[in-house]
Amino acid sequence: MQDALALVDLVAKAASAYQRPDLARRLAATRTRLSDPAVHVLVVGEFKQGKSSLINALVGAPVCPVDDDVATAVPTAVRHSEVPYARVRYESETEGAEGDVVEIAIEDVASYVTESANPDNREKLRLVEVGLPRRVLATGVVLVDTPGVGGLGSAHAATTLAALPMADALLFVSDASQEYSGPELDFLRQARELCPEVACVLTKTDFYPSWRKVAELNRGHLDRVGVRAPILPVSSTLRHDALDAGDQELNQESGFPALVSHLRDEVARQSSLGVVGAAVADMRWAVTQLRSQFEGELAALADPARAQAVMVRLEDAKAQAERLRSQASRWQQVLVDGVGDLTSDLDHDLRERIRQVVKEAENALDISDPAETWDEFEPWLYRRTAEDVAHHYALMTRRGRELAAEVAEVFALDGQEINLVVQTGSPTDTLGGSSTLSALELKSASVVTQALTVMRGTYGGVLMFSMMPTMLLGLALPLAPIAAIGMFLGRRTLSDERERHLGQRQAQAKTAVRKYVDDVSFAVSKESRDNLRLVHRQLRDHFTSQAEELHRSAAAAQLAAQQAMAEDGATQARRQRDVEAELQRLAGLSARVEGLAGYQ
Amino acid sequence: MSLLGDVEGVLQTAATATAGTPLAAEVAALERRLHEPLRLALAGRVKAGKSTLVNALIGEELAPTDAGECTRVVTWYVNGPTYRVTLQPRSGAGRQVRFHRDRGALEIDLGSTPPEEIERLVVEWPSGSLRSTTLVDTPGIASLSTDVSERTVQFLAPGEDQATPADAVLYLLRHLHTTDLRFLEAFHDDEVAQPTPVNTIGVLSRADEVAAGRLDAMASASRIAERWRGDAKLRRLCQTVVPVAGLLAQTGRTLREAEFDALRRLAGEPGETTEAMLRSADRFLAEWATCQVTAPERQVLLDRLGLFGVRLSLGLIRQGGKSTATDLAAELLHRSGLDELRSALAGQFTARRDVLKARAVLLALDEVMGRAPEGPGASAVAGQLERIAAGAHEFAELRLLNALRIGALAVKDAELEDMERLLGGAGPSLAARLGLEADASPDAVRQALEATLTRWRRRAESPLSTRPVGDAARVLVRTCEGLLVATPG
Repeated sequence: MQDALALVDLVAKAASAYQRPDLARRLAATRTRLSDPAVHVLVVGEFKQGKSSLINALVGAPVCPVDDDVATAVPTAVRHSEVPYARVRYESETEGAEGDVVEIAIEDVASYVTESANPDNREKLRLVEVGLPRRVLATGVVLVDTPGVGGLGSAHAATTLAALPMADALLFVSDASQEYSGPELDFLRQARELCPEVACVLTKTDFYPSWRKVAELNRGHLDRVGVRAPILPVSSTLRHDALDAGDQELNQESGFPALVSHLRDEVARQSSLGVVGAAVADMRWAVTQLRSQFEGELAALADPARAQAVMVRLEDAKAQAERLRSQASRWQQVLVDGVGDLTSDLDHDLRERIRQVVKEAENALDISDPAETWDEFEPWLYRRTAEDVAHHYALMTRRGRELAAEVAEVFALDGQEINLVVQTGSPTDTLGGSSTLSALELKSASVVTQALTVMRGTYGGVLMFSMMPTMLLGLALPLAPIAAIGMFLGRRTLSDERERHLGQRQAQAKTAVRKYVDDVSFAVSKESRDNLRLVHRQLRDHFTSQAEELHRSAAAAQLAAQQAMAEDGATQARRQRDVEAELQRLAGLSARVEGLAGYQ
Repeated sequence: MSLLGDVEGVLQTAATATAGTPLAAEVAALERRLHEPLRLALAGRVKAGKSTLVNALIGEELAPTDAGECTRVVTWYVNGPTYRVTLQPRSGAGRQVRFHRDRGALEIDLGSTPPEEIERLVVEWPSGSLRSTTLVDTPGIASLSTDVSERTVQFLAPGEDQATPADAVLYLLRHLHTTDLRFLEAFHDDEVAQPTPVNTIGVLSRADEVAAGRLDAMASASRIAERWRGDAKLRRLCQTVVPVAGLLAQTGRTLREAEFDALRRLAGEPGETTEAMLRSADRFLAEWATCQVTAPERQVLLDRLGLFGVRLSLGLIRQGGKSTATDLAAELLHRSGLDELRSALAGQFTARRDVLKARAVLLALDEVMGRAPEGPGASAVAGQLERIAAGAHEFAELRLLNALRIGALAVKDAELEDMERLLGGAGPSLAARLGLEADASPDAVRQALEATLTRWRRRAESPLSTRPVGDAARVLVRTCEGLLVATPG
């Protein structure tokens, strides 16, 4: 990671030196992404399993309130920051708008997130964010403490499930007092399909003598349902004592070093592979742009006889780059069409899912008396809806990535033509005269093409990746309607009305179902539309600036070639040597970038 | 005529009506059940500590307990003249099975019978604790193996037309989970009263683990139980919630001299040493060169007391002056909350034992008679059943108590509390029912009772009372009158 940062700085310096502030800006953005990669780790589990203690012990500070009774009601995200801070993000009142953000003191976090201070999240908090200068988090890990209230079968669990497709990793927390229960294992089975990295943390090992046995039993359960996840036994209490006393041995015993290294080596590394990969692609791109500037000039200098042809091609290249950055370019079309398709596909997907849920619900209500079956029916409805929403989000993430890849592909294909022109026709008849050049040419055959091709693989993922933080914040299932149903159609009301007609009860129940499902579908479709807008904007900005950069490279190459042609022979010879030297230097830089790519 | 007398009467009619049919045996069984001890079932999620609590209540380590899921078959613990275990398969006759007891828990040899084909195991054990109550240990719900959970649901909430074999239930909760609520909601019936919190007591089990071993765990647990008692959802489902540290209770009742001796020697070690040892379970079991207590001894202590129990015991020996095994055991028992649980049991269940049993028997009889052929005998039984269900004041009280618990009666909170108390919600004693101190003078009690009677009589006759409130007041008037008759002076 440090190597990558140093190299980005070096390439950025080169870009500034060669008068390409646009490339320097891109690299500055790369640097930011690289130094703050934001790996979202959801901490999930039944309530009172020690999730908040786990996070506190991990960062060595009481950021998440811990109580024997009250549980966490609002998700808390803990991330790295040199300057400690805490802020509260509220639900937005109006559609499409960001909610208010209020800075608070870190000591006050408890009064915002606990169940007793904020029952049923009446304050309408969306998220509490805490920043701390901690080494564990320096790799970009963002720990998200989720509310466990109500158990895994409940509506809260539904929210968590829905957030899974956006998370980079999942820490599933259960304490060592007992093996997994049915609902816990169900959750894990589903999580496996929605999240790439799952690890199971077994807490309170200091307190339960038979934790080894429990771990072993859990291992067996995980194997049986095919969840390949490590089990990490930890004791937050021991970790705490160890940090207080600076006791290395005790720290080892607490099991936390293994957890930390899992976060650093597995979770953060997996996603840093992505971030570094993207940085490599950015640097390749920048170096290639710098090189193509000189290569055009060199082509003109090396063979004055064909200089005119080179000039014409450079002119062409510029024009093509111009087209690439215009509204009418092919990639723009693909992007606009793709977003349109995606919007309607997602809309359709959601509608189809919701319709299926409603259909099943109504079928069930038709053949039973809601007064008797509502108790089982209600949780079923929540679970069923949550699963569908989770799969809907998973589809959105996947299709978003695919779209990014598709646009990258088209962009690369159209960019390739520009590239060929810059490289000038067939290398043998155009550049054959210069041995230096042909040697260079072999290596740089189609550097730009490479750079563009690389994007196909990387950018799709990385662009989506850089959007995740926003998406993760955006995820919320409406919980309020759930409470409303309970009141509206609670057991009591139903029992009181026992004498009334069955049909009326069924109709009432169906209305409640439709109202709930409508609320869910409204909230979810708003989320996914907002996210799509974000995808659209990011992809457009990204490729537009690349087109700009291509254009600028072509223009610079043309200008340099023109100037070179105007000089006398001696100056030209000197200039050729200079340019070759510059290209050598850039080739060196290029080699270092490739080295970084290989090192991964 | 007393309620039990009425029930016996209807059972006799039923016996005549079913004489000579296969149902006769079932009616006879109900007749016996009426005179048997109250059947108290322990239910809850897996690993809620049911078996440990069974042991604590019996005062012996009988039910096997383990880190993994342990109880897989519904097991009855019955007072009997000899030690005997009977296996009752789902079909066929019960047979005696072999068992042996090796330093504690029973090991029962089920032979070749798979658990799913066993309806129940009946452990007969001569024990004073079982004389008034039969305990039924059930497999945990939300178990990974659904058929194990299924057995408990089958047992306690068998569905539409079947009566549950249990008279009352202790429901063990570690946290309030949705499955718990759903299960509790399923465990009720509609005949005598709708959702019946009256025969259920909630237990915040494994209370010693609430604070992950801190010494104030029990205080914390009491606070949680207190909050749960006020929780509207739970109020509808159980009488009260009591925190119990099952392991402490079990060991408190069965503490051995050798164990106390080991604890005493451990308490003799320097404070820093024991503190370092008690840092974690692993450390406690590790090699400690200078320690006077051997590792196997420490293993026993940890198994029997848990980390919290060991910490607590050391404190009690060092500062609390508990210098004998009996003293320590008594204190552990006291701290475990078992006493509170027993007094809740006595107040809520034992005092109402006859009503609860009568209710269970009537429900079962109704179910049995539903299968009997039509005839004058059957309709006589049905008539009598209905008369008892509608007429018995005890059931009227139960119904009212239920209505209060589920919040079906629109009265102010203070009045609600008064009504519940008068019906024995805070304890069966007269003083408790009237909200007086336990040592109130007979005169004061009598005066208060008369005042209460007048108040409810007025409420019953007031044209301003709504009908449900008027009905409730009439029930309370009868309750007061009954109490007045039973009060000397």
